Amino acid sequence: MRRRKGPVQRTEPGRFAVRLSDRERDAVRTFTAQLRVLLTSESPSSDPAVARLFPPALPDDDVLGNLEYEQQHGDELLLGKLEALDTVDRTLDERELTEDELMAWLGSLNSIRLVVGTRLGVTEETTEKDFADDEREMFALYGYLTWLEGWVIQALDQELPADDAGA
Amino acid sequence: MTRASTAPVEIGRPETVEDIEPDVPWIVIVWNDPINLMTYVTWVFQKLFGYSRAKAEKLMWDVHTKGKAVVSNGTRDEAERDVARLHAYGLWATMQKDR
Repeated sequence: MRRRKGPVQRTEPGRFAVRLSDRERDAVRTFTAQLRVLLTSESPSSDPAVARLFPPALPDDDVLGNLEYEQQHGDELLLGKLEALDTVDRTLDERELTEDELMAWLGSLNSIRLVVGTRLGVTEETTEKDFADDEREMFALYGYLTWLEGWVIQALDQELPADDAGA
Repeated sequence: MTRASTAPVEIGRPETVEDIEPDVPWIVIVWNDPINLMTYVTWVFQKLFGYSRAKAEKLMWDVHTKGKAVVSNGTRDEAERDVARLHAYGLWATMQKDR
């Protein structure tokens, strides 16, 4: 794979260099704090953005089945997201991350984008022009998170096993 | 593409029907959404299921262009486990009987 200078790069197997300014790290910190508040204070039934993070497993009309799924998996899914946030907060000032740490970054960045994107009502055709001034800044931050997540994916992609072993 | 909010009605069957049809497999479906990145969806399919890059990309393109793709199948328990793993990664997945 072609190497380019980016904010996140694999330096050797299992090791990733992170080049972000303090301002960028603070921006991510603000988002992780907001997501933590959201996860601990709202529920899928009270907030559409939280609902997007915990979708039903069965068709909407299978009320009982979805309830059972939520009882069976809801806590573990919530805990997983909170643990990923813990890892991000703990490592946000690091210049080098392990694969597990970077995967926690990826999961948290993706959760944050799902929340922000749901709030903004983004579609695949959404552009900056679709927003009034007060939402345009949020859309710009969404764009920043998308850019950063793209680099994280590219870095983690290099950890995947060689293709000939695949199914 | 827009979010599909409903699914076929025929799967909301009483549990007794499942009990007497234990051989009917379940399928796991991933639906398109406008937020998850295409590279991310491909990466998740490779990481979770061990699929080759080619297979993962094919499934991602099906999700993107057709609105959904069947990504795995098995018993009800296996399907439920896969759905939960996909939900942990933020993908929009559901399960249903393959009929």
